[in-house]
Amino acid sequence: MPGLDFQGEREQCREFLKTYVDDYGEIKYMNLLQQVANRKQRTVVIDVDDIRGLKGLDTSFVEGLENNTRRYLGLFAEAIDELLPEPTVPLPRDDDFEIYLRQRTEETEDRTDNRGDPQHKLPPEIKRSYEVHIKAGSKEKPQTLRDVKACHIGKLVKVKGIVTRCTDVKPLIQVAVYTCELCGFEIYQEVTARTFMPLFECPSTRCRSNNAKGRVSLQVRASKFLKFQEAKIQELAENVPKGHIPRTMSVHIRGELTRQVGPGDLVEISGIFLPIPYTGFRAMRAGLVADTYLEAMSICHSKKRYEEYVMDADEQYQIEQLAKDGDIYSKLASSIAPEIFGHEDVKKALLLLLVGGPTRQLKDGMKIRGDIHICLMGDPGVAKSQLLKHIVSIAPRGVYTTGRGSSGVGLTAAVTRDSITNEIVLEGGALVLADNGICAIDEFDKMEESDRTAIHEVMEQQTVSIAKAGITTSLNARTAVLAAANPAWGRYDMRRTPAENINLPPALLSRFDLMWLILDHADMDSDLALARHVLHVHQFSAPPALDFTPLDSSTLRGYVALARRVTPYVPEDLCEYMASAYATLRQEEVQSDAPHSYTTARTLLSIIRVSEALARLRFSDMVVQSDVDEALRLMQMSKFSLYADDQKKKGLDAISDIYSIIRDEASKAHSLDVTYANALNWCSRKAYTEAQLKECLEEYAVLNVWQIHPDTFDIRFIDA
Amino acid sequence: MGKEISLDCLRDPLGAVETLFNGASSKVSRVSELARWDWGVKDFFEKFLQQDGVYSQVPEINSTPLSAIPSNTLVRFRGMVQDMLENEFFIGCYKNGESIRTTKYTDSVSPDFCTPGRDSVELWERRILYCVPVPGENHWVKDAFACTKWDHPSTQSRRSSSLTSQAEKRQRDEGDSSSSPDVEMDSSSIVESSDVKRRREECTTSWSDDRTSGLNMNFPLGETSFGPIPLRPCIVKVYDNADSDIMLNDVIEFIGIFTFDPELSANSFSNSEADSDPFMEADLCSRLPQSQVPRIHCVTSRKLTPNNMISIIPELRQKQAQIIANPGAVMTLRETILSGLANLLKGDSLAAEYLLLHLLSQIHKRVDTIVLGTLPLNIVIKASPENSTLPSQIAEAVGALLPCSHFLPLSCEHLNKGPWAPRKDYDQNRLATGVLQLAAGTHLTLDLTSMTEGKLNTTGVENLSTLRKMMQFQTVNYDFKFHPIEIATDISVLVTSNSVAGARNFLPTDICVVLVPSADSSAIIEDESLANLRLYLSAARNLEYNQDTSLNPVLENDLVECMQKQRSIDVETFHRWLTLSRLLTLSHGESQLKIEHWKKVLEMEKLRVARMSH
Repeated sequence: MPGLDFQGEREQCREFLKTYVDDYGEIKYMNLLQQVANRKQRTVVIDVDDIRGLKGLDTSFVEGLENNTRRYLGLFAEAIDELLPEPTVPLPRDDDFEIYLRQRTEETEDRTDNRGDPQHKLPPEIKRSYEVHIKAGSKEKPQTLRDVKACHIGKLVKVKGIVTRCTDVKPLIQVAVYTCELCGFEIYQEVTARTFMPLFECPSTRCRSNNAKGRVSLQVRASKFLKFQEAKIQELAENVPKGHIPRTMSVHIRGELTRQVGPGDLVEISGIFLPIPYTGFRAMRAGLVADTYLEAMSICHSKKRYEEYVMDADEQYQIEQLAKDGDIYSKLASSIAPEIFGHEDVKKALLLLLVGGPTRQLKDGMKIRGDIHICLMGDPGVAKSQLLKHIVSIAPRGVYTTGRGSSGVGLTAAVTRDSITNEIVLEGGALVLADNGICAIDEFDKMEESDRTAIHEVMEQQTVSIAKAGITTSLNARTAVLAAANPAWGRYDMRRTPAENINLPPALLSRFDLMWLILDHADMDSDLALARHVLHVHQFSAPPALDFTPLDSSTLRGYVALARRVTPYVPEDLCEYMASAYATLRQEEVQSDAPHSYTTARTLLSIIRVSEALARLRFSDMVVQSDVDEALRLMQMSKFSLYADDQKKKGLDAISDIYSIIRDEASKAHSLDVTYANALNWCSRKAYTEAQLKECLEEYAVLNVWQIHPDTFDIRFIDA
Repeated sequence: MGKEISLDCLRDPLGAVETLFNGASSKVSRVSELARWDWGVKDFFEKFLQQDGVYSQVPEINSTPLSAIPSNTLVRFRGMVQDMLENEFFIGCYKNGESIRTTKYTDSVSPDFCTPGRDSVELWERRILYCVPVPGENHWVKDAFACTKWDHPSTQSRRSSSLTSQAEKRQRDEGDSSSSPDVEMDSSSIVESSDVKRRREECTTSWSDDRTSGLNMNFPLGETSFGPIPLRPCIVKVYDNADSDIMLNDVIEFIGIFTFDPELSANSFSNSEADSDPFMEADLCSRLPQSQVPRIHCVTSRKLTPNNMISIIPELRQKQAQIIANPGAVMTLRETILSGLANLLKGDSLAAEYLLLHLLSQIHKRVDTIVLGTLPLNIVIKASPENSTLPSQIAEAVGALLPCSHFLPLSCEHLNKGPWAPRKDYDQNRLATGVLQLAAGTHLTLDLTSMTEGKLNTTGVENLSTLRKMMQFQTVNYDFKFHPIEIATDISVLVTSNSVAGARNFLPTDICVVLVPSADSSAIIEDESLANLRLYLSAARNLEYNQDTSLNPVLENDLVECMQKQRSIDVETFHRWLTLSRLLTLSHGESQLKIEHWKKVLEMEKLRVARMSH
């Protein structure tokens, strides 16, 4: 470009490459160049972060680099040419490239007569055995395709998208080399566009002065080709404004960057946004219109995970404030699907599913899963699916599918033959896709038999094993399963036993940490509440104001992400407590004539997992007793929801049940004194509320069964 | 003076643009600043169009033969945004010697354009919309717009006659000759209008043959012509960010500059094949020949909704205001439409009442996943030979009353044919349309009586589930292969079926009305009242509604009482009743819920449910 001198900039490029020292005290780029000289490396990636980090550098340099990237790419390449050190290892001499290069250097030295002819000068491109890429700063937020506008042309941009299509990798000619049949000269033609006009006549001075019109022929082996691939990326669904169509963008990928992407990949690409110059007819048609593309400079696959969740200071502060707040547990829980009325305990359980417990790897290689599996069961139309979908939308990586997934891959994985390449490919199903996330499976009961067997493995070992079509492998599926199922006969049949209603084999059921039955009960209060709700929705076109402000899902997500970083442990003294609680559960099961549940060692693990998740929610690395109690309460509640009606049949009202609990516990301890705190714990483990407990205390105090301390509410049995 | 300028604007809008541009460019110090605003073009043209009779002189693409419209003149186009193509980068302005020129609002380059140096060029961006004629738009709407446009001699041509120049006269003559048969149709009965529909249906079949041979125009319902004039999609180029609220499936009237360059169009079509690289490129704009897909550079636009579609025409707006101001007139119209619908439905007044409310229904609010205001209705018709044409008759009546409607007989074959939800075609890089890509406010009559035994394939099952989802949540998932994109819809669905259970198995229709015939279906609505009925419907749909909280205790009591009595009454029922009472109130031209309306709804529901158990 006239008027602008890039000499200074070139000097700066040189300086930068020569002097940049990275965090480890290494001269990063010179080392890199040595690798290049030794033919060990083929790319030189200039990181904008490094340039920015360099002290004493003109800011206009970085600015220029970002705004006029293509030019600087050339400047860096020239600087590298100058700086390229001698190889420190012997190079293979029989390489085509080397032979040509050697010959050419010799030739050009011989034939001094053609110095002035540009087409005879050896273009620097042909000598280069490396590519230069400029990588956008890692701190910059990727733009959406929508935001890349005309003003970005020529600039370095960073975008995020999903690859929708990509071509095969093809050679793209970079320097065409011809030899003249008459004079034997090599003629070089640099190609910068996608099409070029081949030469037909020898332009050398000798042929021209002889007026010989020497015929030239293209030397394929001597020419320099570049791997070239075109891809299309499309805007991510979450970036598309309502009522719009996702934008797409062409990406040109060259050299070593090729073969990195495939359709369906989620990628972050930094590159130069450039217009395509039209040629030939198209230029005529297009007139003043230009197509654009992105010249890829770096490609990185992005996967969203909790572990990579980056929070800004604001969010962090907000979440820390929340954590200090007392009742964070129920606040978070009620923020899950706030529009769904009630179901507090289910929501609490779902919150714990999001948080999960830590996965532990034992020394002998055994893995104990930390993911909490939950199964929701219930009448049709009790918002099971909505809950599932909401959870999936909160989780950074959530897959929602139905038992009869529409894809042929199903839930686990399948080996298919790619229609184009005819190669056998392994395609992951929903459970594999949800690795490190949550897999919500609706219509769990209607699952294919083959998937159902596979899911046993997924839910305990967290892998999917494949032995099909010559492929034997095991894919990770570290996912928390959230299942929703309908009762066996469509609606829950009260006359049958729960086991009959739940149409799932015990082996599968025992793998769920929590089971929940959501039934459609009739009761006046809830009906009225429902009526009010509906009326409000119609009157004000909005759901009634909740008595709390639900946290938005990004805060929720952030909170969960932070919580998941904590790895709590169970202290020694709690082990005893858990063990006794587990023993009691087992005991109860033996005693009851028709055991409803299968309390196994898995149950104990579940208790631990749920308690750990609760500790995580407090950002505490130690499980305390209240966590265990809450875990037990939830498990009891989940059972209770299944067998609520049995209780009624037994004719035991809550009050007398609470009394018997306290009496039993007291007699077990051989004590006449029971502290209020203990009593409350026992009751809540049996899913009774504090109000019920107080009622019980009063009622029996009147009967003179026990005395209640007026301040502490501690209980003392009256010895009769 | 104004008149002279106005005539100029019609025939040479680019001249006006240039004047404005020159004015603007002399004011700014740097060329890049010119990109920042439209130099007053939009305001200028809007003001220009507001002048008496000017709007009506702007030819409309789909009621005028393309050959009658010279290039670089002002045109109107009413269409639905079917697809949004990639933004186009173009050389917005360049320096030609000393003068700065612009190429905004045009495709062709002035002859003195020589490839300028890079520094004297500004790259600007414009949005490209692919618009199709509003799917399912009924003939009377087209006529109404055509009428205002051509100033039919009988109505009000006198007013604008002073403005007519030679060129306009020619255009108008052509327009008259082409649209006159349709104008007559306007005053015809519904029975006659069925001919139009049928004719259109025939066109569909013949057109689908075209599709294989030639270009896919992406018409959701495949209507290709209106009367003698073929319907055309348009590529509309929108400038500046004034359009940022344009969304997919919006119905918009664009006023813009029509450009047509036969030379370029001829070239491009043959050419695109030649230098096509196997996958990418094949830029859509170049593949669609200009002769079939006109290009319009939009200078101004306005959104049309089924509610304002009628009232946008000034005369009709006045008339409507008169009607709604007079409660007596509203009641008479209500009676007229009810008796008309009852006649159609073989004398069943309950079904007529429900049908009326159904015609008034539209989404008024989405609350999370709940959609308020829709009323999918299922009319259960006893299977008998004499009833076999009833579904189509109902659909015709709906077509005569609502601006956009479509009759869709369901059959296995039809369901299996191809995806109904639009999907992205990555080979063509465009959104391939489907039957369910419809503008908000479109009415769909699904005829289940034509269903026969058969096997649904994967496509069929998917279509059915898309349909179900649309009826339940009023959203359609557009298939972008890698992820679906959920697009909100507002389509009222009327189902006709032979049995209650039969329909339920297929589609979530919670309101089933079993038809109890008491008379033969007879001549339906008198034609002269039709126009008024349309005004009545659109006025009622436009009414503001509010529900006083003072009635709450009564409503709550009623609801809970019913719920205690009958367990099958659930949240859905509540929503339904409240929606019904809302619509009933609106149908009386009132905006405040009255207790008698509520009681009437409960009564109606009781009757309806009683019929179902028979």
